[in-house]
Amino acid sequence: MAQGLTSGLSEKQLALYTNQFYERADLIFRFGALLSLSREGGERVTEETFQALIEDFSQVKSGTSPAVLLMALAWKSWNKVKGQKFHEWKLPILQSMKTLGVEQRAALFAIDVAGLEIDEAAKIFGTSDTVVRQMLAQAHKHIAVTAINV
Amino acid sequence: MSANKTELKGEDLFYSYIADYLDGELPRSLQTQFDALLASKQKELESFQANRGKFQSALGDVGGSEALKHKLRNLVQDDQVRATIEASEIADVERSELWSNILRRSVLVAVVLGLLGAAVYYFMPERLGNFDVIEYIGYEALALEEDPEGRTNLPSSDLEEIRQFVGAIPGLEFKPELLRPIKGWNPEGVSIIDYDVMKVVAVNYVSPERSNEHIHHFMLPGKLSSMKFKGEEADYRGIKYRVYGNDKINIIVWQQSADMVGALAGHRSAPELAEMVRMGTPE
Repeated sequence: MAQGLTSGLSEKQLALYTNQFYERADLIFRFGALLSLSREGGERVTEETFQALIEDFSQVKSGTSPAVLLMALAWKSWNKVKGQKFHEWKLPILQSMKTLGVEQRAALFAIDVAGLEIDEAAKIFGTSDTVVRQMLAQAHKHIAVTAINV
Repeated sequence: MSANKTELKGEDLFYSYIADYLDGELPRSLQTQFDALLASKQKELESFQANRGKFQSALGDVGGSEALKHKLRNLVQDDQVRATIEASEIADVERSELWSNILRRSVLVAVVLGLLGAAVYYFMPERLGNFDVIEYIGYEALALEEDPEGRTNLPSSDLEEIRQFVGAIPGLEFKPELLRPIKGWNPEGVSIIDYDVMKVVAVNYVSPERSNEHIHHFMLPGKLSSMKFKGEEADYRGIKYRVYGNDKINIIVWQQSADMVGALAGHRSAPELAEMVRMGTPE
């Protein structure tokens, strides 16, 4: 059946993609939406992320953490598309996070939503554990003192 | 969270580790520092706890569109290929299920046949042995005398008509053999008695010259030796029979043919009944 794959992935790789990565598409969409405060931005980040994943799928090892790899690719994708104009998504939860900086939102999402460790997030964001902790602290304070609308 | 030591202080430390604290994962090395900060931030802790839940829950409800997911699926496999593969997988499953069903049904049929075989094996040899047909036909003979019309399937005095009727009874396990005409006893009709384990045929005779006394010739399937009834054995001029009797009726039982037992029931003595059998039996 491998000859029928449009991406050239083997059957095993296809199963890995479907079960471990494609299943997390919504996670990456949420990340993109939270950073861009836009549905359109969420979709762009997700598409870019998965496109990058497929292009280098042969490098994916079976022990690789899908969440860490996807978040790393998503952060790169965000940096690639962040200059673009996206239509704002008037979703209450996104509006509640609007006044928080994008890096703080990224740290909040990576640690509290995607479940990454501080050092994993630090590596992805290309910074130190302390900086990630500081960004996370600012995000947590925002959550503690802001009326979160849902 | 891996770090046990931190350069953070004050609010940074508090808010950085607030989730760890709530999740019971606060490093022990930070416990004292965190507790000191918490003393003045109980309200913020509660507010954070409530809002974090709202944030995670609301964000969890956000999802990409079907169009987006379709694009992501098509990155690795287009619709046509996927449809072909799915159709092939469905066909594989159906084929596998078909063989599985055939196997399952074959096993089921084998089990049922086995059980049937076991039941037949278990019950058949015992059937005649457990069923005391002679006792039943004793009652039946008396009942035929009390209510002959209600229990007669073919009222007829024509022996040939009776022979034809008896020969056409469905479901008999034996070839019925009538007695030859017995002087002084006229055929009166045929009764078919269907017990669960066997079907019995009775040809009833009446003797006008003996105040309409009756005798009944019962025809039963099987062997005399297989019957539960053993009775007293006797031999009347070459006819080996067994005798059953009570204060109302006598019955003599003999192996009339290879697959049929005859039983003649009446108020005559056993030797008289045996004589009638001898008269009714072809030389």
